[in-house]
Amino acid sequence: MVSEAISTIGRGATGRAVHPTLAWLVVALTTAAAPHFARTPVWVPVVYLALAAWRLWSPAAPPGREAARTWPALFLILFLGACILAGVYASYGTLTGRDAGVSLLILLAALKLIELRHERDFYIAIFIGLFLLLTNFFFIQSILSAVFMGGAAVIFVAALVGLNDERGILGSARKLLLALAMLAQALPLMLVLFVLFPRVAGPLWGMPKDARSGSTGLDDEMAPGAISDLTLSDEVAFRVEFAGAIPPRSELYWRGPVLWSTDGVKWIQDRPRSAEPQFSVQGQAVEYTVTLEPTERNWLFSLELPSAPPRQGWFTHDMQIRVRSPVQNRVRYTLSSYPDHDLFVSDREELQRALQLPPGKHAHAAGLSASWRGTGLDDAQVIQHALEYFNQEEFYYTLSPPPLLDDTVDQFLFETRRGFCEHFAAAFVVLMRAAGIPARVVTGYQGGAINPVGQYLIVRQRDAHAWAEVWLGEEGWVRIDPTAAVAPSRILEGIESALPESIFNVPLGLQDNLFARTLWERFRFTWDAFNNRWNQWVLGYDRNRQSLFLHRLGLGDIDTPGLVFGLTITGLLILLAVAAWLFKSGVRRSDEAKRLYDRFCRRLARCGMARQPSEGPEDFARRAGNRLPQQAEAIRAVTTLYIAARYAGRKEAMPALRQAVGFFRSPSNIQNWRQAGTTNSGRISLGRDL
Amino acid sequence: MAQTIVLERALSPAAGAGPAPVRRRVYIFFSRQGLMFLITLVVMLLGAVNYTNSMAYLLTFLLTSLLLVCMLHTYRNLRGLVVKLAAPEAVFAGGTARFPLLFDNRAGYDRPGLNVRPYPRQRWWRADGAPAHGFDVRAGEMRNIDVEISAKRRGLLRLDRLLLSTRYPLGLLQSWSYLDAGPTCLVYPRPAGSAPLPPVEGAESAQLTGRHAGADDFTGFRAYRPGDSIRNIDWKALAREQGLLVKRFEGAGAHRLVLRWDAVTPGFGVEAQLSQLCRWVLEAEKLGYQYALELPGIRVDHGRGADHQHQCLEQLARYGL
Repeated sequence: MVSEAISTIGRGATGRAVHPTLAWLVVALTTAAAPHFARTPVWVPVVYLALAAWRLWSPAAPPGREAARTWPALFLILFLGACILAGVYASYGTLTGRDAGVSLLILLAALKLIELRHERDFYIAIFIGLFLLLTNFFFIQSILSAVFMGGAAVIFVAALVGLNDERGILGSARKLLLALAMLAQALPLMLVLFVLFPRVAGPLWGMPKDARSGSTGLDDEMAPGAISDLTLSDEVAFRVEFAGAIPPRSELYWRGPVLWSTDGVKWIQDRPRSAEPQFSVQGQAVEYTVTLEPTERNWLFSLELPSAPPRQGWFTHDMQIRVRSPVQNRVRYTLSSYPDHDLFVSDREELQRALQLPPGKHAHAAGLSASWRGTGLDDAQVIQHALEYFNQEEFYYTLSPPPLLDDTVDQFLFETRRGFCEHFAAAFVVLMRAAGIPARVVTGYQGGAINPVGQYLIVRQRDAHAWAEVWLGEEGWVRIDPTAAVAPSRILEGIESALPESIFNVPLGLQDNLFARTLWERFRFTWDAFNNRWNQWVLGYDRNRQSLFLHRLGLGDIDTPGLVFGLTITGLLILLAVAAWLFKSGVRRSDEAKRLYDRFCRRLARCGMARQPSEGPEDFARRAGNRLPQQAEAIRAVTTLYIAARYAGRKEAMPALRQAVGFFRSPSNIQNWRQAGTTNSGRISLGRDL
Repeated sequence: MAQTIVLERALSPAAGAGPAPVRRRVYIFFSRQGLMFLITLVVMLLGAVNYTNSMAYLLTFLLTSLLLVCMLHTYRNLRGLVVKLAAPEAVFAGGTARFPLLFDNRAGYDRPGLNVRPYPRQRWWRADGAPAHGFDVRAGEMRNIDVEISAKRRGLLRLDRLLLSTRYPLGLLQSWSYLDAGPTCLVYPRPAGSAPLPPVEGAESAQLTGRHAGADDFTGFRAYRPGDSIRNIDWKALAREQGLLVKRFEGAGAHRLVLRWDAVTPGFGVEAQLSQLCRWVLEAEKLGYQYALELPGIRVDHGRGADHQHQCLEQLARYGL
């Protein structure tokens, strides 16, 4: 039995080197753990793989000893366990939380591997592995990862099948096929559970702090290089579906954090204050719905400027939309914005703060703008002058500006003159403030790619941008984008046109071939549209989506008991369908001949001529022919046809057999066989010829 | 007579001979591992809810559905299996009775991982220690399994109840069925006792002992009849394709004796007396004598051969029961 099977594991010289069941288990566990290896400290995979390899090729305990745990072995396990706990604590400073928990789980699985003794231990190892599989989704939920984990699940199920195929009559391929078939049969039920299972708004007991680490995105502070780092990221920041036409690219300014104060290097936000912003709007509104990827931040992005905050957020005094808790899950919100707007201050003190400069810094820049002021220019002219300065002097828009070590603004303005949008925005605001014009930095995203497949706008991290707002008295806060002065194509055509191609993911060799490139882009758009659907309907499937979906099905509002009821009924129906299919397919349908012959035997038995279990068809025909001499010919015909159809594989005998058996329909027919036999002698002789 | 049991399904009686097949229910419940798996699922679900993670939900639901599908598979592994319980060969007390079970898989799929073990109605917990036979029956095949039960006392040993179970394919659920109305095994008394054979009757009473079958004279051949000892088959004739012939020996007929109840010294109890008689029957048969058996109220006339020996031993086995 299984315990015997386990005892043969790794018996080296006496048994097979590696027991197949153990091999399956190790493969399954490793598949579940492998995606984590890049996320854990490097010693975790090393220890895991070492222990697994040791288990696979170790000279195991002598056979029959598997039930007794020896004291040295117990100490070894306890010692290893203590080492693992200490190691994880040393690496993470904690034993709880998502990241430390995953490392612990991987090492626990390895520990379980080396102390497999009973059948029960196999199951525990597999259950640990399944949980490990689940934890992968706390890090990544893409379609590809779902496919990968599905494959891993197949291996786990195959390992379980192998464990229960005690005498090993199934080959590896059959185990995998059975696992695949069982999971395929489970899929419809899974879908129903997924759609109808009542959703509770999580979290139940609070998330570990590290649950969402590592997400890239716009920060709430800006230093030189902060945004250019983001341009390397292909990740989607948010997607926007417009109710009407998509506005021109030059109007697509997605407002994020507004930065007020600087220490000379870094720009930071004001303390967010809830305030009724003073603004007036004109012209046509643009309606759109944003699906924001998790940012771990407290703000939402909006097209400048929305008329009202979304349901879940509120406006700050500088027209940011803030939300109560960090965005940990994908959120959707609908807004209506007016590209044509005038923004005023909510209190006069704001303007004072928009003039502050760090004491003792940016002396050269201040000198420069003071010199412009000195020539008697007004505010608008100073701004114009500054933009012309960027445009006409040797300034370059580049992704890899030289490092700024000293005074970032002065060095940029007078020495390096190579920068990204954050350099231009920061320098421009410093120049404005030095000239006595209130100004502030606005960060966010600019532009986006229109996906022709799904008719929506994709805004990626690489579209991150920084620009400036200046106070022009009557007109209020006015957006000035100094980057546009240096690289107008950045604004008009998007980041792709302003930067070298090498940073975008066009596969090697496709750059020169226009047709292949178009195809590639088409593929990328389709893939993103698919991903968008996935995000909207699978990953973002929550209470709201659930009720929306049920509405679309025409089911209306269903409360939780209703959901549970529907779930039970639908689940049972599906299970019944699977059962019907499963049990029907079990019958050998090819054995029609046997079925007919059995019918023939039953009919003879009704006349008192029962076939003995030990009797072959030939013997039975001989005996029955002796007992019922009148029907001997017919019995012989059936027997000959049966043998031809079933054992000689002659399918053409089937109709004749059906016909011949048909004559035994009732006892009276059997009595009247002679007449029937003579009238149908042609057919019967056909049978005999076979 | 062989008893046919069908699990869950009505069986079309292929031959119509023998008693009608009996239907037995198949039961199913979580195994211990299945209960552990349920706990794992609950933990997974809690994780999915806490992190509002759709993929975690999906995996949890996939495994939940797998458990339900596994239920169907585990049930199917027994469903429609035909079990024939045939009468076992008689054994002597102290020996091991072998109850032959024929598992007939008429389905188009293999049935791996089956287990069968004795599971008596009374004191079923004691039967836990009884060895289980693990076996597989491939699609369309039959599989013979002997269930061994030690025969402690003479008489009729009834195969009370068997537990047929399986946890295939995933081990998370166990389906089982009880195979009852089992056949009985005749248990002869244990051959024992040291008393010599009673004296031989008739003419050659002078030679009481020392006569063996070797002294018999070969008299010719006759066609084989069921019951003849295979030791007497003329294998060379079979090889010459002359059919099954049996060598006939004369002379044994001369040694006739009667094994009487009274001839055994009483005082050690009925069982000891039966044991002594049993040994005598075996000895007389071995020596090729014509022997009769006389018990109080029962008489088996003179004869010899396997059938006759069985008849005598059966009387001994059933005596007083």
